[in-house]
Amino acid sequence: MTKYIFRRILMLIPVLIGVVVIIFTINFFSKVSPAVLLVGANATPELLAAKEAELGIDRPYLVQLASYFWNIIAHGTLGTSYVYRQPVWDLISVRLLVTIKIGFCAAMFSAIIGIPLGILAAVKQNSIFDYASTIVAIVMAALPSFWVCLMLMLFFGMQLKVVPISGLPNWKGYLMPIIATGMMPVAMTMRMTRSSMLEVIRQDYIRTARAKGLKESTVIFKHALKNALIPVLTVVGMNLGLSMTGSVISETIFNIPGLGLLMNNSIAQKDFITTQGCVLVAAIIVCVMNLVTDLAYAFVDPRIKAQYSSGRRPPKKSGKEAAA
Amino acid sequence: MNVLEIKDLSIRFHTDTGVVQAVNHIDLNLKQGETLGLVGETGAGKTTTALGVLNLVQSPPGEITSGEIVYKGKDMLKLKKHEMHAIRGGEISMIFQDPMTALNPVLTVGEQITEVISLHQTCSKAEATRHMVDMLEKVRIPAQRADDYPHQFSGGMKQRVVIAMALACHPKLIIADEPTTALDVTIQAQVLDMINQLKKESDTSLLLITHDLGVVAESCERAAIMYAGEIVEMGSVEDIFDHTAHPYTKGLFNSIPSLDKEIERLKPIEGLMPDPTNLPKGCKFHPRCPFALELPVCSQEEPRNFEVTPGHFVKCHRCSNWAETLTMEEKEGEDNG
Repeated sequence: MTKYIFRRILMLIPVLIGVVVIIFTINFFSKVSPAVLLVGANATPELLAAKEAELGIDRPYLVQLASYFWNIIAHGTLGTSYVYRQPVWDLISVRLLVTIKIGFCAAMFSAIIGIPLGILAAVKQNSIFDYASTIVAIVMAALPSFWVCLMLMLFFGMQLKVVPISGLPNWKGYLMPIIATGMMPVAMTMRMTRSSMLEVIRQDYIRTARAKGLKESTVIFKHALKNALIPVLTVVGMNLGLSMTGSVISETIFNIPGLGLLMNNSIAQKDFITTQGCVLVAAIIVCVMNLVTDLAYAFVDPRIKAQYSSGRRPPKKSGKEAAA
Repeated sequence: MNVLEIKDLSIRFHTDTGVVQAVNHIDLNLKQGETLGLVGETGAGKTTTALGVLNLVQSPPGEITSGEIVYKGKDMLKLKKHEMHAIRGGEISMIFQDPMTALNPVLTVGEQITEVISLHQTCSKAEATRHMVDMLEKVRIPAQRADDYPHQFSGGMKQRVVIAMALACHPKLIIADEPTTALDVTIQAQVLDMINQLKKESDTSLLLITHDLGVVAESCERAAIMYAGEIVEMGSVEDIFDHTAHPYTKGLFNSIPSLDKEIERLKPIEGLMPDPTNLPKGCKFHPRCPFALELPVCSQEEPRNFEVTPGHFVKCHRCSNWAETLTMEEKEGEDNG
């Protein structure tokens, strides 16, 4: 098991290198110099060149890329923000916790709502509840995130005045971003739980459990659920990674001081070095969440556990592609 | 005394392509301590009948449309949920066909056996565990393997675990649904012996579902032959093997390779089992029956159950009177001679 974890962590390195190279290349060739925004559009070419030299962005592509990597490896820094004149890590670290809180809560919200509803929809297949939940799930998955944010803001913030409209003045400020971020994951979790459960309750071992004389609730929760949870775990794990890093829209709309807002602002301000830092941190979070998901399989399914400890490759490499 | 009496049981499945008439008006009874073999081709409705006894037919799409299943004087189909739960696994238990899929992959075999013991017997956890270990040893699985998961066992061992689970609560009736079909021939005999021995120990009745007539000859006292959801012939093993009356049963025997006769080709029954969504009118077997042409009534009217000798029931128009049957048997004798 330890060997497996170690190998997975080693495998993070090429993924992260790839992420950095891609985001750096996009920024480098974006044709807009970050210096323009700092010195103003009317500045002389000399002033602009001096600023570029100061930021070190006048150097060739490979030199800049190498120095970025060198800073991370040798000095453990992500560089200094062009705009804020602060180390990028300092900017990220104060915002990271907010984003992780919202992402974690959103993923948990999706699991807590989605899994029971999915079970119910499967157990009562083709009932009114099943159809209703299917429709609700499709609607939830289809609504654009920004629109949901705005409607939540309009209804709960402006009309009912039960939550703050923007920022995080108190814990209530977290509620709307969590719901907005968790909406799509709820739908995904619910649909996945339903189909996985439907498949499991038709298995022979569920018939065996019924033939033992177990109550229906024991059959469902003890015998079926543990088997049905394996594919659901994949979805919940992916949601964990995605909602921790994919909250750019809700953080921007609700003005939440998190990683997503920082990323959005740094892109708008051409503060590329901060963007790179944010993307790198987001990639690490997604990769770690995928690893946690893979390890969680072992606790649910003894067959996968056996494969981990025997050192063989586990059958599912869930979401690795998503991480990259 | 009859432990189990099935009267006029019919089971239907409602599917997109039509109503599957899986079991049609069958009557069956089983005495205390007796072994009854339920024989038939794949799709004849044997498993559905067995599941019907425990009211385990998946609904929807399945539905028990008529009949009574009387166990110890109580109609199983009218029992309340908790009464049914007490009987399932406790008084009537089932051994399933495919050991590979019958065990829950995420629970240890020990847990799965202990579960059924603590459910039906009032005992402490430690006693239940001890009993579980006893059961495992009875089916010749070492006690230390109780903490292993099903994927760590071979097929034969899994089937033995399933048997241990079914017998753990000393049931009054065991329904064994093709317990040996998924196993190697060498293990088949072992498993059958084990079931028979454990059955004798506690005077249990056994409903043995199989398509293997050899298994019936070896371990059953009586046999019922099923075709297209009906029992076409039922009687003691001697009746069935030595005084075969139904043309379908004869066909079954003809399709078994024999060691002492020199036959180059087997004689399989012509044609295929009818589509259960669209069963033929009259006798269900008449399209394949070599004698149906002689009697126009075969394709018109459904035959009654005739008792040709006491306890030997045949559902065939040719047995409508005793004399005719006799002549039939004589003719058969001449043919063989």
